[in-house]
Amino acid sequence: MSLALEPSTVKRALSAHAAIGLIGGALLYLVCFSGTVLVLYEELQRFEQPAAPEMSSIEPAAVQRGVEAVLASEDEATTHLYVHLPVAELPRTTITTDTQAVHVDRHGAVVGPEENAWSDFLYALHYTLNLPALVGITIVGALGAMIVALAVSGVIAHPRIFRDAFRLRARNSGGVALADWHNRLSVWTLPFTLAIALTGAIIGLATLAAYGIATASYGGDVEAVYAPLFGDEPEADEAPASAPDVAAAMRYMASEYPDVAVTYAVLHDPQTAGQHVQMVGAHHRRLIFGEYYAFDASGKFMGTAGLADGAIGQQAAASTYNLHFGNFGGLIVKLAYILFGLALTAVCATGIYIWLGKRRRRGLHEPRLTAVWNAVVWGAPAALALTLVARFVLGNDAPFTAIFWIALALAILTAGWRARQVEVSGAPEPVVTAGNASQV
Amino acid sequence: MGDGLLWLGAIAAIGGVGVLRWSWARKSRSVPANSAGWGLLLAACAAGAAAAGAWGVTVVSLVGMTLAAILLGWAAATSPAGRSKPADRRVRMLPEEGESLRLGGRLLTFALVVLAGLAASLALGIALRIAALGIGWSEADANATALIAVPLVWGVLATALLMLDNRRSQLVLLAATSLPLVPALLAGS
Repeated sequence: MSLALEPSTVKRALSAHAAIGLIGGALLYLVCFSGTVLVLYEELQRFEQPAAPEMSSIEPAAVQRGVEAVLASEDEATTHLYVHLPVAELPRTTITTDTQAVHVDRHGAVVGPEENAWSDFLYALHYTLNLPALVGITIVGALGAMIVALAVSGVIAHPRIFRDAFRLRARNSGGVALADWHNRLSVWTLPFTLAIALTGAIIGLATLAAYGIATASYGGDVEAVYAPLFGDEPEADEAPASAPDVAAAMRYMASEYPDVAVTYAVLHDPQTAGQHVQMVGAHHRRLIFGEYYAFDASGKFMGTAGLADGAIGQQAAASTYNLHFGNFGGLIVKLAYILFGLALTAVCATGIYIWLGKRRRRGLHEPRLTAVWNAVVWGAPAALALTLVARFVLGNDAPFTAIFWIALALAILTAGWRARQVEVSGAPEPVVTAGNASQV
Repeated sequence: MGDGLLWLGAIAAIGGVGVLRWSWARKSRSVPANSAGWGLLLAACAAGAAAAGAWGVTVVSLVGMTLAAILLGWAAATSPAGRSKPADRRVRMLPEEGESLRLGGRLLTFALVVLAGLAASLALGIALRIAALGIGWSEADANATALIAVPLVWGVLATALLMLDNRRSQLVLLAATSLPLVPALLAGS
């Protein structure tokens, strides 16, 4: 019995692989590239605002003072208040409401506004391609599903992909080296690619999927889909009340769960009679982003949501975020994610070059397409670097989204126009190989 | 115990990649050598899981992939110059001289794969959720199954749809993927 695939199956898989890769093309590349940089989200925030107060820990009383000061400064009641507590990657205490985000020092005094607009722009570029949230995140989720499809079709289309997994003819000309890099990087990052793509697709398509499930089974109540996974919100009671006792909740966590690293305190409907507090606690050597520990307004412990030890579905759902972003094992895991993220980005870039090279070898020269793709591959990092320069020259309020997309569009248009000029003048088209892609 | 197992898993991952490197470089195919390599990778995952669950599996997988990246870097650095003929399999994404663009057909394929494919995946996800509840799974497990199934099914379905060579087969596959929703909804209601 032979397990070999029929040649026609292989051929059709290659067509499917090319179709998905070419349609997704630039967007896949952008999402992979921005995601690779975003692995350092916490470190980038520190780089962006180095003067913000840092601390390895903060006393519960200081957090309470900070919370009360921020609540007192709000013009309108906030629906939620998040206290980011100091952790190794981001040793800062930051309080965020519906309308503001401020750093507090180790005594709980508000020091000044959080200024990480560039990091947030990068986050939005990866999460939503800077589009309106629902549309953007759904498109990015769809791209994740298409990476899953590319992985499946890629394996079917290359019957020798595992046997040749170490065969890298990096100094061969005529497109061989480029194809080898594409195939080798793909096969050795396959577990990473599938994990990243699937978790990204789950996160991105969750809103749409939850809407479908809610329509079919919960009478359209989307929150009811998530309630069995992450816990539900208690009934709201708008009657006024004093600020909740966050310090008591923190003290309880320190005494009863000393091995849990509390990363966030989340206040729901603060200063109303229906308010309650959630502490998010990270568990050592777990993929889950944390467990929710619920407290009432007086700081009395009410129970956990079950993300750490509840149903498998809860644990799986809570694990998608860390597995996707690579923040579950310190800097060494982040460096591995950057390495494999760069490999995945290179796979996206080389896929289009391979297709263009095949067409050129059949006599179909497309200098404008090649130039435009060069502009995407090199223009996106350049445009991102330009936004970073703008951050330090123009400040936190610089229009990062406009700068990035205008710079990238200009790079693409200029490259296409210049290639057209070269085409008209009859000069030969530059050939992209694994060695000269950056120069071209 | 946990740390020891985790180290053992990391060593098995390194060994597995190393054995596969040696096995795949042989002139003839060796089933025992290949099996030893894959077996070590499997053992690495098992040790990682026993040491620290999903976290452990992820960490030993990263160790194996990192070693593979180093070996690939070495292969690139020591690769001799050559001039092999590249594979030139045509994928028919754009028309060549004298061929029609078939824009309508391409748009229809896009609609079938992206729009209908997503709708069918969603239908199957909902059906799986109802089936999971039917066999006694908790609501959390059933909902998580549906949320995970939608993108996974869509990825596989997109590949399958694009590999089919006629519209009828594509429509049959889409219908087959969506149909479980009907009995599931009937049973669920």
